[in-house]
Amino acid sequence: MKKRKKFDWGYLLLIPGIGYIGFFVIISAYVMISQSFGLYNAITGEVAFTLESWKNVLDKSFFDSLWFTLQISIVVSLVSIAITYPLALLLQKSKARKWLLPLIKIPYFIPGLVGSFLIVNLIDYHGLLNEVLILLKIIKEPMRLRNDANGIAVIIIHIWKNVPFMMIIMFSAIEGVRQDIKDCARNLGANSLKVLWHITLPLTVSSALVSVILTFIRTFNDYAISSTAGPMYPLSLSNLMKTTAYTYDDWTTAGCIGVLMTIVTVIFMVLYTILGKYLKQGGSKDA
Amino acid sequence: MPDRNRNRSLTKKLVAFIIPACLGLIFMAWFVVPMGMAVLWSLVNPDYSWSYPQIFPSHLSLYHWKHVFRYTNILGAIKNSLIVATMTTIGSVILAIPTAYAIGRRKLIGSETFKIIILLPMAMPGMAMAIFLGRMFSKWGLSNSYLGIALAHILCTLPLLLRILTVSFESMPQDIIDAASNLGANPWYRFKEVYVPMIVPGLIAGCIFTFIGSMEEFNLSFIIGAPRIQTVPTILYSYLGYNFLRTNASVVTLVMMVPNIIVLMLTEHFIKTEYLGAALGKM
Repeated sequence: MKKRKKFDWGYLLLIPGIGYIGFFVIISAYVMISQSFGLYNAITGEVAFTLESWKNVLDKSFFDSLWFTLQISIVVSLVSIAITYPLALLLQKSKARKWLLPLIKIPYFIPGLVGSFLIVNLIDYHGLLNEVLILLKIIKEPMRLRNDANGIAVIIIHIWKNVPFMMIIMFSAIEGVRQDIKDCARNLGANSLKVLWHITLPLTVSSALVSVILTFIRTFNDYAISSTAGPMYPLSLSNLMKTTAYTYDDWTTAGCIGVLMTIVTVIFMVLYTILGKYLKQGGSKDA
Repeated sequence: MPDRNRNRSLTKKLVAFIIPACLGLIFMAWFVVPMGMAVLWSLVNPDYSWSYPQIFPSHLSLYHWKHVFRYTNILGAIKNSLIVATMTTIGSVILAIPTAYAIGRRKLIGSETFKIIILLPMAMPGMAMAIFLGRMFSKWGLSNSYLGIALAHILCTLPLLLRILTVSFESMPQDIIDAASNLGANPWYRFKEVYVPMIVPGLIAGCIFTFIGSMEEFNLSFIIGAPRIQTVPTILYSYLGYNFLRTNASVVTLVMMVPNIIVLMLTEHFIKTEYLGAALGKM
């Protein structure tokens, strides 16, 4: 109570974490935005305000990349949650979860690039998948999955990497649904399907949305996986930005792409925080 | 009636056995098959090719292992990765503890806003941050240095660590702290006997995620560290990019997983991935 009178020195404790994050984020945002208007030059220091890049950035290759990246991110997040949710439900019921859960979490601890390579081995032109399918006479010719224009390989790798990540979030959400609420519904005559539909699902749906959004952001911003297993054209947005900056030495356009990518990500981050708030309220109502 | 009951319990037992068995098989395929392929590819004898009709390579050799260790910088890359990850973990913890304490325990005005600021590094695409922060770092002379990479990695790992620690601080029961002060514990004693034991599990889990996050971070190491400091992800990327060498990449892949698997095994008892769920799944 006495805290209120004088300055709360608790605010000073925020400086290490918040200050660090704020400082570096503002610096990178500053460089990115000023560069997109030609106002930052790391080499010669000569600057001139220009809108040229903003006019040119929205060309066909940009829209192709945007569409390609969006498509992959949406497919990955939807397929991942479609795999994860039933699995998490099954696992939560199963007695064997003690040894099954660590197994499924392993890919989370494997670096993304390693995962990329491991899966590429499987689905390559002469990879295991194609050969097994040919042996079983399901297909005649090996399918070209790696570096194909639809980015199938990228999608498969992202799903492989993201299902464990989602599993970690979803499993703790499903575990968190209180047993007494479920028992209560059971006592009132609900069968297990009804319990799932009326209790477990509504209480975990915001966690599911949160994990979908996080997966979307991770996939949308990915560089390494799509540049190793993705097609030569269209590039993913991160890859397009990096190529524009380093290969074509066009830093102002790269700045524009960076700003546009950040805007998309920020929109989804805002959704994430709003959902997080909703989740908190939902949780406290039931508690 | 008893017969039916016995039948039902039998089916139940069967189902209880079959479902985990199927799931186990799927997970094995999920993880073991790709790993096995990598092991086989790393052992292929360069004099005999391994191609379509053969299921297993006809001749095995350790040629590629010797080659990779003799002619590439993989040991240096592992050393670099470990140094950077250690620096990142120590730095993140030092920066995160005071702030997480302030947000989690002090009832500060505007703590909801601070929680959103914490997420800012996640809202910026990794490659965009790497490229444009890298510009500034090269101006400051921080590129091509351990310090530069570690500073950038801290920026990436801090959000998750801060969230995990904030949740741990928030979930401390106030009555225990009050009881300690009622019994006459001074602030230092309260810190030592009450806060530390309750924060340690979250702290260990957070450190592990930070360490692994730094080990596998690619974008920032690639832009800021190149070309002088190679970390394990960047060296693997060089084998997956323009000069795709499946055999060498297999060796690097297997080597690259060793530190992560050691960390995973060492910390299996401490690691509660539930912390990650708790930290990311809610606000």
